[in-house]
Amino acid sequence: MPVSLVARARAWVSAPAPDDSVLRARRVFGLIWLVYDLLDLVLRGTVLQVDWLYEGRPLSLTIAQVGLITSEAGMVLGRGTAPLFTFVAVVLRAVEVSMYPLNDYYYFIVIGALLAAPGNSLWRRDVLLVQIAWIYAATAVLKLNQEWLSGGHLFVRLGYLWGAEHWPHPRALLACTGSLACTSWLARAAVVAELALALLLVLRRGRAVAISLVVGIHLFAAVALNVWFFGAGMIALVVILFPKPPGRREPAT
Amino acid sequence: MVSLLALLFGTQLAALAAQLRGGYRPFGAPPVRVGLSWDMFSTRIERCDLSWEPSLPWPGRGGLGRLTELSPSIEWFVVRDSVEGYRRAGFVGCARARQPTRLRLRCWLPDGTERREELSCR
Repeated sequence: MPVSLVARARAWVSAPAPDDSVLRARRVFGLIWLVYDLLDLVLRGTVLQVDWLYEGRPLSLTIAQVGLITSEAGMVLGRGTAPLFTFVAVVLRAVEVSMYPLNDYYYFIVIGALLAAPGNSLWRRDVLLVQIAWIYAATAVLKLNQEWLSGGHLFVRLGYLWGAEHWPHPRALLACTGSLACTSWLARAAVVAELALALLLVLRRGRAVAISLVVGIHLFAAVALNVWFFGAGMIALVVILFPKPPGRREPAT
Repeated sequence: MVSLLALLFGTQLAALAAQLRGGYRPFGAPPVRVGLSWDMFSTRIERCDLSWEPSLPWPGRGGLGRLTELSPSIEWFVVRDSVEGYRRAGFVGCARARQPTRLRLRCWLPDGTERREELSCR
């Protein structure tokens, strides 16, 4: 490998981030998932999804959840100890995912693993952005199938939300869901949006467009697909980590 | 740092490879559930509104008439991914019935249709 590339790689690995974005990302990520786990513990959300007949709280899952809440509080409030709390949270989430293999939990693990190292390094900010871009790119590519592109998957989820869970919905969206033609267009728009967002995250261009896309994608996911906390986490990470244009950066603290 | 990145991206690439080995092809058959492949909303699902009439006796509640009554309002819905899965859940619930009870399913299918079924617990 040419010497200049080695030198640049070394400089990249040792450089600090130009602001405190990685530290803020860890605190906000911890806060969002602290709220998630508190609600999950109180409402027995995961318990019921694993076994809807279960009348109590499984001991192992409850211990993991209490541990997660404690660790996430440490991510939010800790200073020097925040990286350690983040590492513990990642381990406990891995325990939880072994009981219930939910995509949200895998997402917590990969992001948390990158947030667990101490310091505010440039490489971690850059790798976090690449990781987030990878998630959007991969999920968009896997949606390139007839189940999704036909609008059928959205038809099922929207029909269930309104017909079974009786969610209120905007009239336009309600009218759309009676037709596969309409849900098909929504489905294709979602794939385009995810691929576009992945590209912007990799290129670090178009911050305002990227933020608009991430907010739009996850607002839709919240009202149409009942996914709230994953989206909140992604929005927060993109807003915090996507570099601001030169001349608008805040100093590192 | 290198080992962390190798582990993170290696496992995700392996997950995507598992999808390809499992038969997924772009614009073809849908993927299946593989952890770390980020298959969110890519797979085939069916959803049903499952109900029992009369309601099942249920501890801590006046009765359970619909499976959705167990779900919190957001995020953690109690669901199954297929009509067959809902039928099985329905019959599992039937074990708690103390009188003749009927299962009702109103299902949404990915071909854009709805299907209704009525079954007897016994």
